[in-house]
Amino acid sequence: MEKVILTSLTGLILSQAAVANFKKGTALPDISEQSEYYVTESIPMPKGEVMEIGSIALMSDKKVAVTTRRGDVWVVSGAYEKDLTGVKWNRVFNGAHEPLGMFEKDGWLHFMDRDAYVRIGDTDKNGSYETYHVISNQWGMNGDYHEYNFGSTPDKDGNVYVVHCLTGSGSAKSQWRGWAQKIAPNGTTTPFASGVRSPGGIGYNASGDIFYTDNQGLWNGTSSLKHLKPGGFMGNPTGLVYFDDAKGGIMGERPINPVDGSTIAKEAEKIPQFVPPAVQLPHGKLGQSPTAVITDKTGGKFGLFGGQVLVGEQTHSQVQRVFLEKVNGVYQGAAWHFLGGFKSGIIPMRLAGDGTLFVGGSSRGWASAGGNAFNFERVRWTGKKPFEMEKVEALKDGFKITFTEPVANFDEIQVGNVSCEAWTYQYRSKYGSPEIDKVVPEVISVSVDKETKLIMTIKLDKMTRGHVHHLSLSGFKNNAGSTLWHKDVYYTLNEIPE
Amino acid sequence: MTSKLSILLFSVCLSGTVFSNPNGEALFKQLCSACHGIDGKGAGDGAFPPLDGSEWVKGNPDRVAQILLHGLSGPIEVKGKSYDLVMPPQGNLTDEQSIDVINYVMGKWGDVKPNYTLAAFEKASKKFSDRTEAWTGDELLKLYPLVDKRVEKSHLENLLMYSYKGTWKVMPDFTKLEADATEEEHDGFLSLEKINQKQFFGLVWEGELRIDKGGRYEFEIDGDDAVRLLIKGKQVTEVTGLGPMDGSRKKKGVVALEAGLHDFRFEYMQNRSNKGILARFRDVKSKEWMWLTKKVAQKRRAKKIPVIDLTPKDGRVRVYNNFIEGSSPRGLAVGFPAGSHFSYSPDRGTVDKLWTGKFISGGRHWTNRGQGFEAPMGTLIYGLSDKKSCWKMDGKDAEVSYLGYKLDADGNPMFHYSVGGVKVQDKLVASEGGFRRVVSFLSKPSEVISLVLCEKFRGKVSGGIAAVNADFSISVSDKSGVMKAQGQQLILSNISSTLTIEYQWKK
Repeated sequence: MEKVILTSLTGLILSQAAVANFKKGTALPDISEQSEYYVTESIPMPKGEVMEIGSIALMSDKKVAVTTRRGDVWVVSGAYEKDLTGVKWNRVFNGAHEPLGMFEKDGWLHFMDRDAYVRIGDTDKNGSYETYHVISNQWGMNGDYHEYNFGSTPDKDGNVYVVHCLTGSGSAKSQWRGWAQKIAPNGTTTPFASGVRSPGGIGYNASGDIFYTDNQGLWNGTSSLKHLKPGGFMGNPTGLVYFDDAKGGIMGERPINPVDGSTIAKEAEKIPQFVPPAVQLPHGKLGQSPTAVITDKTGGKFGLFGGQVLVGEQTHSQVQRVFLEKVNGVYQGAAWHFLGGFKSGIIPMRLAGDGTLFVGGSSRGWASAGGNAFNFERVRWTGKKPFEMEKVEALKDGFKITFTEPVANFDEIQVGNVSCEAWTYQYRSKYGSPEIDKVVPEVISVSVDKETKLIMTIKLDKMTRGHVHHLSLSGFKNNAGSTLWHKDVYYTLNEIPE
Repeated sequence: MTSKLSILLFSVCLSGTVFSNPNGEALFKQLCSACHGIDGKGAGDGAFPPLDGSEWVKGNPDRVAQILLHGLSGPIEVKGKSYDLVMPPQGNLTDEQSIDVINYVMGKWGDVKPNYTLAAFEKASKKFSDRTEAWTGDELLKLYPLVDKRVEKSHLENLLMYSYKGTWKVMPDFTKLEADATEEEHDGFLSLEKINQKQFFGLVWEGELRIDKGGRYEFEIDGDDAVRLLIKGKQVTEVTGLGPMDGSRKKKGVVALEAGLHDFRFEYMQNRSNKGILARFRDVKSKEWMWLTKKVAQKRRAKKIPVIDLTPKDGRVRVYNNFIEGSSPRGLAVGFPAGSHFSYSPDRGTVDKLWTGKFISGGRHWTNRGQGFEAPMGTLIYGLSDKKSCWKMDGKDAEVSYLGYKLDADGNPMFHYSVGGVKVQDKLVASEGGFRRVVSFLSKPSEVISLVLCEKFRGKVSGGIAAVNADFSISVSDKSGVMKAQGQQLILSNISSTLTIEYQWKK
């Protein structure tokens, strides 16, 4: 008898040890501090249903609609309530084909189906959507699963933007694969940008410019957030086979073919249409499959990062945070880990005006750190301010970092508290790229603004155009004695300010 | 005290299994663990392939290197379970990092000392540097066959291999031929690993078979092409003539053998194309094979796609919008509770297939990444369309533009599209033994518009009824237009604003 008790006790201890070891062993950032600032809750889903979420739309009356990879559209009420046990789900439609990107407009749900950009309506108001209107289907598809289309919300004029993944993520066997299109409210569809590979999401920054995420692969050394500049070339030449159909208008002349094995910085000098990735997300270090693009316009209800972009991450089940600035007319900026520990691979996100972030996703076919097959979660700010780098801006000879709180020990901060490493990627037809041309800039000086203690200027001996600059800050403390929540930042230096 | 001790023991056990390869471990956790699991057991409760226990990370490290370099796509089998996924190339790794990962993975879950070198990796990398596609499992296993290390001990001693050159269609009498070369086979296995020739040669192995326990033993042999087994100078069994080694020609024989060593001879003749040998034996009372050749990996079982039956059960019509076999990529299938169903290409305005019984399975599209076109589940009544537009204008394909659909109270869609700029509504309603289809033009159709009702029509038209075959007919109402066979097609022309078409089959 004694022996039995002993064995079960040992088993318990062992399993706890194993769990501890597992968490310690992951390469993903520690999220133990996260719950102080952000609370994540799973929204109960209808029992027995497979809710692999591909789109989320915020509706009127505090309702939320989601689409699933199986082609269902559901509307949930109660998802904003403090007590989530009362959520009510209603399947309102089931004839969609893996939609990615949805919003509500004038009582209709608009979504980017595989087949078409459509709107569905409940014109007889019986709670079930019976009308499926095709607004545009002016692109090709051949039955390859990879031919996904990610659609945006409307811009101020009601236009919607769609990015078309390449066939098999590597070829362009159907028309407009590898392109972005603009769809006017009347369905008029025009080419908008070329050079797309494998998008994961599309959305606007605070200025209303449209961005999308493109995944590491052919001609993408690493994943990145790219600015869909009208008429721009995003870097993957595969879809240029359709350029003759797009010539003129905003697309202008066909970009010349890039040199395989070069770097983006070199090729962007030769190819005027080339829009370098605004923010590169170093593969492995800052996720592996970026997805949704949203901007915090909650006016402070979601924390301290108003106006910044949040990027979903499928493989690592995370949300990254991005600060964008324009230098010499080109977008660039900084990226940090932000939120983690989600239960599946994040695909869509929507941030409601009250500061509720909804995320959903799936790990079917593409695994994710959050091991569930699918998830639907919400995140809210607790009101506690994290000690973070709020933004990082490029200077001609270094970086200016603004903190969310005063650096209490600013007089202790020396060059040794900041380390910097920079690299770029091969721009090539092969899949992905190692980090190449590494440089270790010397930190010449660090100075914290003595008045506010909020701003630090870092001077480096060398700024390398086109390189991702990884800054790591250690030993910084706020008044409460806490260290930075995230000490690493990755800044993509497309342009060096004058 | 006891619990502290057990923790200590536990951590010792853990650390004992981990090779000191911090770079490889960190990279694995960062880049590989999302799919393969931090513990190598495969993410998503086995939805993704494990490395722990996987035969793929045993044996030649070049196999693993090739997967990192080019990726792996399509069906594979790992630990007896099928997977159909895509692993992308790990182009983000430098050569040095790749070695670290390979050594970590093979050291932790493989069976070799983790000592893969940069030189070996670069050699493997150069070998297929022009390759642009991901590997398939079959391709890789052909290049780097799996080794089953469960076969640890050989049963053959003093093994010699004699090689011969020649072109034979039946097994020659090797005793009358002069061998080109003789080699000692110290590992005690029959193996073609060192044989560079692809065709027109013969091999004979001679040695002694060791039997530990007397009894009756069953021998099984197979080859591409001929193989023959002799024990104690007597033929046990043979596979004669030319042919593949796919299991269809394998032969068995039973011999009673006492404990001890017995003269053993195995003959092999290769003509052209693929080569291969298989030989194993077991106590007739046992299921466990003992291998004389190195174990041949079981031929990959076809990946079984699960069935998710979507036949409507709630009384409502169901639209399944996905890739449907025989329809346009924008096609869909419509299932009726009464048990008759159709597939439809709304961007072509075509009814593609009609069937009865079960509707369709979602298994193909709702598991893994969902690749491919799915066929109807039930009994096919007829395939009407041939992946072409059925609407003609002046005899050529008319421009069809898909506008959407509206579901009725039962969930049955009425499709909207335009033909040559004229808007059309198109709806099928299940009727007794068939469907009634009503196509309405919202303005007067052009006189030059015609509708192909059936692409491959070899039947007869009489009295407004076209007998497609003995069991299936198409008829149109008088006012719809003129139906006639034209070439191989059944065409409706001189169409009116409303077409009523009956698809009728015998029950």
